[in-house]
Amino acid sequence: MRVFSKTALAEAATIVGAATILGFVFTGITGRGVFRTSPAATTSTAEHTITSRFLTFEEARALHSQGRALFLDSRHAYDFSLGHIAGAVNVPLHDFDTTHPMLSTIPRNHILVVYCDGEECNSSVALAALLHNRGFANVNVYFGGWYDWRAHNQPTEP
Amino acid sequence: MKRAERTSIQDILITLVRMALGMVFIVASIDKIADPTAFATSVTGYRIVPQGPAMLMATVLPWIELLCGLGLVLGRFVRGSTLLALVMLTVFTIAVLSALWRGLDISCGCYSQEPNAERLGWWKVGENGFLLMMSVLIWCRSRIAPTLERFLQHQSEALHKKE
Repeated sequence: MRVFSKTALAEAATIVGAATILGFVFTGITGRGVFRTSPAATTSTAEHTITSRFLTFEEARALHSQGRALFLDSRHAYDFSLGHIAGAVNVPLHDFDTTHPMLSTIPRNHILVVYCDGEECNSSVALAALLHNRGFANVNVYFGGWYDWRAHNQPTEP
Repeated sequence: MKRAERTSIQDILITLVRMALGMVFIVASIDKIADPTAFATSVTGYRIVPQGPAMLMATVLPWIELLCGLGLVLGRFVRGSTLLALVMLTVFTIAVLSALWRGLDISCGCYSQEPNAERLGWWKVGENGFLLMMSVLIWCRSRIAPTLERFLQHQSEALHKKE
């Protein structure tokens, strides 16, 4: 068939082959990606994302009831105003550059629990990565988020 | 004469489109190559592939983008590069549509791997559609457009004629 000529397929296969070799050689030599040896070896955003601890509902509830953690809501201010986990502080991911200075008063080793709506959002993971980058050492992600918290009839505001 | 002039203008336009598409792929690959782990995280954000396969994708895919981009800019392996560009853009668009359909609030991971940059939206579908049209145009017209290969071939033929 002329549309998928042998030349095109052969060239495509050559590119994919060369890319595979280059990809593995480059990451192997530089110690990135699959060849990453230690999470502490690099300081990229994603390293922090991956090393963030994901909390189950039970763990999040325990931290909340003991008052040991500060809950951070990464959703938009409007969503936050409609309802949020009791005691949580709104740090919208989109406005992080303007809102993060208020976090400067929090000790860097304080337990932080970041959440967003639930499994359909990623802003909690992204916010956790940004917080790690700014030196917070104990950032946790409650992936079940607002939906999960509400489904378990836990304390909310307003 | 008119026909020849028209073909010449078409050649130039197709070459410009091809080089522009190539540049887009090169730019898109740089951040991913620099930080494959961040790119893997962006890939897992789409909730289509788990962490392991995403990391393998993050190791190879950016280099495919880079080589395709270089191929399109330099006019080497144009057919193969265009075919891969078509396949990649189609897969990317399906992934974006799928994420939007499921209501995922994630970063695109297309050019920058910063977590709060490039939130996914319908604009991305439009952008990919535009790039797909460019790819189809190149695919349909690459036989007439000047490429580095063709230039080298002409040089070689001219040299043989002199001899």
